[in-house]
Amino acid sequence: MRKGIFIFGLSILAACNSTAQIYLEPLTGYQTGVNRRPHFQQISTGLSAVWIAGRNYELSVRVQRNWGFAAHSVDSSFTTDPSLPLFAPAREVIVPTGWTFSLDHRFILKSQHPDRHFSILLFSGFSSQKIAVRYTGDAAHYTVLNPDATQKKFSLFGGTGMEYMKYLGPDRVFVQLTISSPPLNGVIKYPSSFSFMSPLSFLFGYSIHIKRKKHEN
Amino acid sequence: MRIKWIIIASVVLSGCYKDRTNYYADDTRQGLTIFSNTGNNIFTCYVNGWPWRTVNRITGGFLSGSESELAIYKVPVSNTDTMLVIKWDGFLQAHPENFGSIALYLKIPSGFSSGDLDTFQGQRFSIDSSRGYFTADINGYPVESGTGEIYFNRANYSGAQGSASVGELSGILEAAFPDFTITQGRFDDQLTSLQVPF
Repeated sequence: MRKGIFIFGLSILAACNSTAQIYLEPLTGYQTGVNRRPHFQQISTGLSAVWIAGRNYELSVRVQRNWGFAAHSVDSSFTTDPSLPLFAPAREVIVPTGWTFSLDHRFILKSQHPDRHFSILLFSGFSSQKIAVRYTGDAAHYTVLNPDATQKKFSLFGGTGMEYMKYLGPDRVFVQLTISSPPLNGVIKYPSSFSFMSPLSFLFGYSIHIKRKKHEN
Repeated sequence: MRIKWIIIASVVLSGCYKDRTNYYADDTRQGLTIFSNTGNNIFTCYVNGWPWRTVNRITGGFLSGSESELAIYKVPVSNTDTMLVIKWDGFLQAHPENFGSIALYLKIPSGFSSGDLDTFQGQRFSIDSSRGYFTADINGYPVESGTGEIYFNRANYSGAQGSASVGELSGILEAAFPDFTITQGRFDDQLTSLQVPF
């Protein structure tokens, strides 16, 4: 893990070309897990700092927070108390949350239109996911059968996607469709009904032009 | 060269030694496993609030023997009555060196067969003196008999096929004894001819 952090930091430093144009990109969107049911859903918000490192290449550092929608299901619970019904439903609430810190590579595809283009995105970094589980019901008298438990993971991750970007004067707007891996070594060693998310994301954002160095053409 | 042969011999002789117990902790009940029916081969409970668990199920290699947390057998008590004994071997987790057991004695017809375990599935029994009793041999307490309740979530057995899993027994139980109580008991065992030798 330390080696990963070191390489990641080195990559960022290498990318900080002082002559580059810089953009700040607030972004938001929706994402859903595609690797295994149930398909958890999240709203994402994030911020990227972008360096234009060449005509067809941009590099950015992104921090993204993912806010989960609660997923509801019903499990079975039982009691030995003869004065109570044998079975009672145990209502389960699962809330997947997380954040990512990534280094994003934007490879701009050739376009006949100077004011818009498509790009291929590649990114990697660190991902933290927490899938919180809570049961409501009569826990004092009933025992849930095969219960889920809260799971957490922090590890490396990677992903790829497509982007459409349009220029609005010095600024830009964009939409992205990306898919990411779950956290590396994210196998849950517990009989869970879920796994860590491999999110398919639909994001849009606004790219704010921050500066251009005087000596840059 | 000699070391190589020692290593090879050790690997061969240890053979298929395998721990077949899965311990999945219940985050809401410290010291207990979850209530499951997936064949984790474990029974945990509180004895006067102290966590108790069964020994691990071991299938042995060539030198080491098998060890099971569970045994199910029949005991004739008269010409007409027979008791089915479901017995778990284990220990208080604070004293893993002192083994003991918790057992259920249940009255059954004399012609009860292993396949009749299926009739328990989904049933909740109040264990009083007319139906049977619990016994417990717990370190620090006298060996006692008591009453209680048990629910069999799964109980089935389809006949002996060597050490392959051919049945399952899972559920929850509570029991009261003169000097202690068993609470939050949850068991989840695979059944083979080693556990059900009749």
